Amino acid sequence: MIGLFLMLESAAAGPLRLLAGFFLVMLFYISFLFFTYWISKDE
Amino acid sequence: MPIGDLQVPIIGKNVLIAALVQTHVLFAAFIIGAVLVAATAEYLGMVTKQPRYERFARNLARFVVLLFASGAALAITFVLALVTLFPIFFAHLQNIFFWVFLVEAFMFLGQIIIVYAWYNVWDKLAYRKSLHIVFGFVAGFLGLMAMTMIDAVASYMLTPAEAPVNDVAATFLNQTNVPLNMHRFIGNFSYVGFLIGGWAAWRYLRSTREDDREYYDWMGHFGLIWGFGFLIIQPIIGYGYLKGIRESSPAAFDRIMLEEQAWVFNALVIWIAVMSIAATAYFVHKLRFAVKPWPAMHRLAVGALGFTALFTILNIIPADASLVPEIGLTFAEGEETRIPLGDMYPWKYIGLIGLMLVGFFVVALYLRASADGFHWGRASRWSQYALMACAVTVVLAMVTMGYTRESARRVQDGPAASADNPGYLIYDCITMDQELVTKKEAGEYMCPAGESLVGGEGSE
Repeated sequence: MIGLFLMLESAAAGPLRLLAGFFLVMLFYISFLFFTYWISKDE
Repeated sequence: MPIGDLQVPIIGKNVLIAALVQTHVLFAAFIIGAVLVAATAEYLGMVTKQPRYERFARNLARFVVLLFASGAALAITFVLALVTLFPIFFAHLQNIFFWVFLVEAFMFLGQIIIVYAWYNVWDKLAYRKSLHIVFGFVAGFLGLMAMTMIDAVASYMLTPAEAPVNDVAATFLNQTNVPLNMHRFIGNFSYVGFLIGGWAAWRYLRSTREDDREYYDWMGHFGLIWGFGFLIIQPIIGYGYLKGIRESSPAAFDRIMLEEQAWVFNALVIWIAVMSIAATAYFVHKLRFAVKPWPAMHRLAVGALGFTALFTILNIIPADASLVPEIGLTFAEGEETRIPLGDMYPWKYIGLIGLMLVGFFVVALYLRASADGFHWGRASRWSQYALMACAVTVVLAMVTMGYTRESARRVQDGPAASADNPGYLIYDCITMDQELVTKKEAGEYMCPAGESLVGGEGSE
């Protein structure tokens, strides 16, 4: 689905910004979750 | 504009705000839901004397305490970004919702104090368990109140009340505040439940000790009951929410349900389909390990899985061949090409109502079986993959719905319609360029708040 987005409309700003936002959210979310897991796993 | 209009390179300022807020919400919703789930588990542990409830509640509480800082830091970063990038809009918002923001700040403060106290006095109050459980529920309640306050702001942006902005009761109880709040209240439990299930599945697959396998197998089951049990209530509340949007902000409703952005709901029902089918398949699998086997019940659950698949597929069928017009993903004649079984009425109503009924049925069967207990630690690998699939898709569902609500205001028509106006920050009142909409129609301001908000100088 993501590949489809990129392939079909790489020139338009809308879908690309949507994707960029999605990746940012996932990056923040997963990195904070992983960090929390990492600081707590040795207890 | 009296203040410099700052822009964010490459991604733009809207995406920056969205990224910060959505990440914040993924943490905030988790914290609010997890505190209540953990407090409930602690209570169940006290009542049933089963030690796994206590182990689960305490570990979840610890995770919440550790995660709290990340969620709070993102909230502060988001407010900083909002003040910097949308100063005029934020000044108006702060004026309209001064009392609401004030209450929210104190609810948040109270939540922090009680959550930390709750976790820290766990051993100290070991012999006053009831009191300790009350700590957990009070922390959860304060979190819910903070959420209710910010929901008033978020719902007002989409459906501003037809009242002066200094009418606190009217702006607070704008048309979609109550349904939005209900939707998030239920959604918190569902989201947390699915994530707990996914985490338990991951740990189950990596555990080698028998007691750990039993514990994580049980934890996956416990999480999924919360996740799926609350998910099946959501279509009714979501219907009420969308009804409120249709009545107050019809152009926004048309945008997300009928026109160029209707694909978000196609995406959403795909996520719901994955969660429903995976959860039902997990239930069917788990029934094989019931302490008191009941073959008829197992066959009924298999039938329910078939109906779940049928109803979810009915929900997924798009209404026309214009799938995602924003990126040119259209086939045949686009909107002119209607797809059979794709209409909202009656097909999607049948799909959603059917999904709920089958969901209630299968949850009832499953709860009946779990009353007698299961043999833990024997679940198959694929049943754990089903839990993990639910955990991933519930996150996708959260970000899809957040995007839907916030981009619904990007309507091209209405009083501020022009090529360079991408929509509203407050529907019909403040554009995304932070201009007040002063246009009148038949002597009345287009902005529902009227003169109290847009009576001054501004753009037509």
